[in-house]
Amino acid sequence: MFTPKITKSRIPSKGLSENDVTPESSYLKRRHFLMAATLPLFGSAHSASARLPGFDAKASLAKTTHRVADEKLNSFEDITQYNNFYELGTAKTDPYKNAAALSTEPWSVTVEGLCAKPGKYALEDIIKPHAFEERIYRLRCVEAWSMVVPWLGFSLADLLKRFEPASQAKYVAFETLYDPKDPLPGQSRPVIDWPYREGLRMDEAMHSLSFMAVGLYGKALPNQNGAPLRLVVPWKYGFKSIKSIVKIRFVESMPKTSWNMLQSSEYGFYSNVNPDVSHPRWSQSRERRLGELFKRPTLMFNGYEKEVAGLYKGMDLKKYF
Amino acid sequence: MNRLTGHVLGLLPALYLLVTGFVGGLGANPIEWLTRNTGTWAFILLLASLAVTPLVKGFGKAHYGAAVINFKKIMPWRRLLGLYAFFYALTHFCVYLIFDLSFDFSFLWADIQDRPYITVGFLAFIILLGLALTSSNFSRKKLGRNWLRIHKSVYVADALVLLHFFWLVKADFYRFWWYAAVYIGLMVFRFFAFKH
Repeated sequence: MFTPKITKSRIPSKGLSENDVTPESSYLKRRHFLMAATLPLFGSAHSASARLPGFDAKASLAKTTHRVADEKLNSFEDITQYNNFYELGTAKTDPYKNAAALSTEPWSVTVEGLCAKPGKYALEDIIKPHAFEERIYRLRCVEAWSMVVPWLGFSLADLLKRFEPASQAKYVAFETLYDPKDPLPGQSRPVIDWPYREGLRMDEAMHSLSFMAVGLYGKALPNQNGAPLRLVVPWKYGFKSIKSIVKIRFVESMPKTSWNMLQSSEYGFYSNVNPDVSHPRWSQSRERRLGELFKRPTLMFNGYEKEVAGLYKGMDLKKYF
Repeated sequence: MNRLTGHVLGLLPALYLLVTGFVGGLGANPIEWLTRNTGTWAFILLLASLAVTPLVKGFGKAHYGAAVINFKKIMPWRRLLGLYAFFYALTHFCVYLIFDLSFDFSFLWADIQDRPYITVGFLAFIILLGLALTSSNFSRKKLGRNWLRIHKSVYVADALVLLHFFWLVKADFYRFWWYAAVYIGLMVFRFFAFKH
């Protein structure tokens, strides 16, 4: 009755000799290729970035620069068919079903605020100077489920530096697509005060783990995963990793963020994964990894404590949750 | 419109859950799916059970042109649907106990103390358990007048389930309000129709 959805090798073992043992890197690449080759079967709508010149070439050159040791990747199906993306509906399966409603062509990102190079940038220009890398990160949802995702993209810091943020810029704010005249299916009801807003402290944004994803499993992001451009901040709850970004603003004071606006007692600005600070209504000490039946303990900062704890030195994490 | 139809109604959700399970449509998080669906069907059947008395008393023998529908015949459904609701609630509770808590009763006690939605959900479950245990004709005779008084606590259980649902919602209350409207509607109907 329960079908485990952890990815298994799809490479047939028939006819292989001892000499054919595959190095892990090419094994992963082949798996990506096979995953990509089967994409049309899942009927996911694909974003404009797939058609950007050079995207596939850059994707094929991407090296895995970060991985999660001893934890299996979640399958492409799990990652693309179980999402929180309220713009496309509030049920977990809605974003997959309504993916085609999101049109990512043309796409541009408006850069505003305290920086030397504000302006409206075409997606192509945002992506152009960056080589792609693959980072395998844990993603921990505030609802106590999690998955392991192979993201494709580039360092957020590398992108932000191009706009030359001013020294007064202490925070960076992000916004998701919202056109009141042509709302996405989930935006027709005021579940959230649209557009969706997120933000990071500047040092968090500039941290080497913060990532701007344009793809997963070696291919362009499916719409339901936040195409064509989304944030990935692996040590924070998933909702901080804002999807389908159209605006980046450098600001001096802490920006408003959507879940905090909705219920500030439950969702803080920082929202770092923390097993010791429960959501007021449910425990955060354990989580269910998609593909597993039982819960596993949640790790401090989602397992990235060594890398990021320094950002919050001296802060009371129970107060600044 | 007899007992058999009542059984069929009560078993249909189980059939739906099993078929979906075997076809593999549970998605990426089957435990969450099972928890949510057994909970939802328990609540739907509780509301259905709650609707039986108003239907019987409100319509009795209804004439639709030449057709006659005798709503009095559905009276046995009240207990049947209530028992099936308990069956789904029991499954719901077991899935939570086994897969969320790994059968650790210290986790259960902590959840009941710390998590209001679990507190009310658990209370509702205990009430339903009591009602299921005293649902037989034998208990009905033994308890006499008190039987009805005791079984009216299902109104409280339903309200607790509604609260359990309310406290689970993060942002989108759309579906919640539909359930709340049905529950309030059925209670208001009772209040006005059966006031002696």
